Amino acid sequence: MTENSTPSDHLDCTAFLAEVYLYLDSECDESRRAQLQAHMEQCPGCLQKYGLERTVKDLVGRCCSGERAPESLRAKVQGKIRDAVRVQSTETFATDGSSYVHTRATRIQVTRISDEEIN
Amino acid sequence: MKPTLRDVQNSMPTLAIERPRVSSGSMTELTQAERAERFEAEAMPFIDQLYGAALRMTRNPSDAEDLVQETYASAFAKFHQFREGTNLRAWLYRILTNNFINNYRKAQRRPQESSSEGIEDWQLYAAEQHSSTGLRSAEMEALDKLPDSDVKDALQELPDDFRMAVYLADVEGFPYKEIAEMMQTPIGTVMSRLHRGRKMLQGLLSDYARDRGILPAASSQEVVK
Repeated sequence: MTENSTPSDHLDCTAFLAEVYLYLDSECDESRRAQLQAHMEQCPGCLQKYGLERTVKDLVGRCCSGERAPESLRAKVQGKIRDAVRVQSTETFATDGSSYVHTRATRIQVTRISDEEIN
Repeated sequence: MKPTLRDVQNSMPTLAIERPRVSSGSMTELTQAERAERFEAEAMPFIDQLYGAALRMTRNPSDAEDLVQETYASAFAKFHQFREGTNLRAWLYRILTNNFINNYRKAQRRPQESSSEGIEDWQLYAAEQHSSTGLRSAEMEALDKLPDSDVKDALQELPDDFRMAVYLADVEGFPYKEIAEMMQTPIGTVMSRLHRGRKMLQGLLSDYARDRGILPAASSQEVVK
């Protein structure tokens, strides 16, 4: 169907085009990858086709990443985690009549966060 | 009269004596506190990425914030199940996509979709020809010149399932297997959605490029299908 296959090609263009995504997304094994690459190197049409796919993939990756969560969101999420585990430190001054004794006690109170607690 | 303990307590009513109990109860509490500390340290750094993903999925900032909060709440509640040393990022994304699918995703799904899509598309794609003309590389150059906002808008226009597959593969770089778990579909369906999503995206981006005059209008030599 195509005139682009060469004698040394194990793959023809149909086979290449069927698997170009596997190459693009690194989802095929090394030997297959090498075969697909070899085809591309000998076939300008397939190389361009791959090039277009590569361009679009990179474009999406570039343009749609790098978002920053708003500070208010970050604070809310962090606050919920910290509220769930409240560490209470209490200090007591006591006396036995002749001297003061200083005691520190730590009480850890854990609250389960349930999914309904989201505001 | 010497001050007694009670006197001291009474004079400082806000203080109370508590001693840490050496019981299994307090050990659990200590473990939970340590776990919360670990969760905060390990999971919070992903909030920007998760927000970005939520934004692309829900397509509005308010829903995205809700989705992120829900995700962290679910993750925190389940954190005791997470195996240290395994992929926390993927684990968090699974929770995010699960929450999105359950709570936000519009019912655009066609019931037959998962069975009819897949094989057909690959056969179609395999039958595609390519034309080795210079027009293709002009297209590549034009697309590269598009502003970020155009690309985001184009992604926005894709149906939920296509958009999610493209986002998870092309922005987050997850392998097909992970995406399949996140989207709760077979790998074949993921590949099909990726293929159709990318095709649709290419079409939209080319349209934008033509609108901006950086790509000539489609001529007869190029069969765009």
